Amino acid sequence: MDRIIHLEQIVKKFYIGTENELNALDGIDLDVTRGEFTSIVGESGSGKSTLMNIIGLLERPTSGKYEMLGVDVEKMKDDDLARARSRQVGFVFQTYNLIPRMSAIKNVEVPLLYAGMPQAERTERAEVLLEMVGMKDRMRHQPDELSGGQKQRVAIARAMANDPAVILADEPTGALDSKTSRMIMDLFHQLHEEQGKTLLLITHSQMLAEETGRILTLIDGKIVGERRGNHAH
Amino acid sequence: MLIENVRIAFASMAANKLRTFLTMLGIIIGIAAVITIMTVGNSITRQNEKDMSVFGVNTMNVYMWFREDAQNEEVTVPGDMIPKFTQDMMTKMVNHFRDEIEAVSVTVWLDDGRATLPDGDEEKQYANVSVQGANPGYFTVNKATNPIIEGRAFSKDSLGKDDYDCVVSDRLVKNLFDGDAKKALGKKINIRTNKLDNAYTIVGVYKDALSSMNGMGDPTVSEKDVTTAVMVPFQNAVSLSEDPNASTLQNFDVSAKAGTDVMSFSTDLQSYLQSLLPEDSQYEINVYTNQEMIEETRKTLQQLTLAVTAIGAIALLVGGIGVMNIMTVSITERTREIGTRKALGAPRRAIRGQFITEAVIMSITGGLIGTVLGVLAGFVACHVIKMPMYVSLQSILVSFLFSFGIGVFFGFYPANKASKMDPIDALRYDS
Repeated sequence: MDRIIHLEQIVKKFYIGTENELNALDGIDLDVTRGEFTSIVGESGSGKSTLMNIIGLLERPTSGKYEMLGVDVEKMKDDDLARARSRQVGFVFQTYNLIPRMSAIKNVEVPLLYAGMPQAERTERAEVLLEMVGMKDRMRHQPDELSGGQKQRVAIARAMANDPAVILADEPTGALDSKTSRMIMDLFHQLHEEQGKTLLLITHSQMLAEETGRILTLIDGKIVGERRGNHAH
Repeated sequence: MLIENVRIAFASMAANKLRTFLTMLGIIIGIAAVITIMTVGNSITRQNEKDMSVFGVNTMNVYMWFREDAQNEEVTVPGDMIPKFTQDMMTKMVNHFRDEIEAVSVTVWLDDGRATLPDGDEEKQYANVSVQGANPGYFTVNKATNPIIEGRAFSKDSLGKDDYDCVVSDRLVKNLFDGDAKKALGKKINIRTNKLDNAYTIVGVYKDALSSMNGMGDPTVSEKDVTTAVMVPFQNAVSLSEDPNASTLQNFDVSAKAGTDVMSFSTDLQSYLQSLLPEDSQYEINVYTNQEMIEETRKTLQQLTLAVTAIGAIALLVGGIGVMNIMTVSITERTREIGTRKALGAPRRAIRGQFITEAVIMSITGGLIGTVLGVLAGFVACHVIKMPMYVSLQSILVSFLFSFGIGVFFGFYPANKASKMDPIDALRYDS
């Protein structure tokens, strides 16, 4: 099964039944296959974060069909979604969202903890991941002792923890300077090329999107264009 | 998962030390109050039980005194007004209760004095004594407190006022005869009391179980100077006393035969003796048993414990609400963390478990601090009232379980609220 994500006529409405009813997503069709590096480009308010939340199983669509790895999401209970998030989805946020007062390595261990891995294995795996993102020498540091780029590298290691089917990155370089942004993007390319990871990058930056293999443009909750990027296979 | 939760709980408590401490204060005070009172109460009860076994469970004290409602404003009571048990009453009592009464003990006290050896160095060898006139029944009634360990009690034909026999304590023997009780028997000692010097012959030695307790409270009295009682025949003591009413029997002790129900016997004894008095008598009879006294102390203690426990419970309730309050604040502050955890795959029960653990750790820590403070306060209190301390392990266990329960109970609502947070809202939350 190479199709990881299958969206069919996904609609997400907010404030249903009020005067302010809003169609954040208005009939999205999308397929993502294994090994793709896709970007979704849109201005703020285009619905790209909502789309990511739905793909990331953080919320359910109002209507439409979503299958992840061939399983209909609608039929999954909340705790099933939580389990699927811990194993199949890796989140990278603009604001890193590292848990304060927990060292880098403990942060990386969190998804492993929720996936039920024993302590010794967790530590071992987290060390491997931190080494991969070049953060092993700082793994005992607290988040507030790390720079933005370092935090994001820890967050990427954390997203990779359970070797998920897809990594969702929502404006991962939005809070970083251009040099650090470059480093983070290089890390994504490395994951894509060397480990064959499926990545979904959500950004408002055309420039970053050009680096990916497939670019989707989102306007007012609809996908209005799809083209190949510079990184197409 | 649990270890991880405990670690997180301590980290988050450490991050807000003052807040955590203030939150725990209610629990600390509540637990400390309960532990203190339980420790003190337990110590007093144990001491009482110990005393009871020393004093004997089958003895009772019989008093005659003015009725509480009798109008008697004079401070000094003329001799003929002093309540007294007549010889007739005593005889009737002994006959009436011949199946229950084992012995009757009557005593009279002389002034304190000093016992020396006739040919010894008075400055070096002496014993401080209180001289007590006693009948032979005294030794039966007090066989638990003052058992005769050598020799005998007074014989029937040497009870007169000119019979200078005495029964001395092991303490006196230690001071005057190097502790050799056998050697002391038959020896003469000089006893100076009421400005009179008299030579007495030692006929028996009893074990002074209480004198060790007398010395305990007063560090200024050296071991050698502790006063110990010397028993002389009742009539002899009366004849030496300066008090013209010395022979007046206002109170006496009774011991019941083995197998007698002491509590009901004491009631019967009281009403019988009262019935021997004229109906309009201004005197009343009171019979006290050790059990009764212990029971009374126990009841008082129980009420005190109940009152302090109630205060403690209120403090714990307030403390619990404090925990709930601070957990609600903590959860609001950590909304993003909760959102992140949910995004990373935390199921509801994991979030709930994390925050309940945090509440439990906080209240247990408070409980432990409270327990330590309570035991310390109990130790100080027991020291002040000069009693050996018995820590009530039961109360420590109960307080531990109680603080655990508070954590679970007051932590559940905020933790459940956290577990129900929408991950999207939580992630978007600006702290």
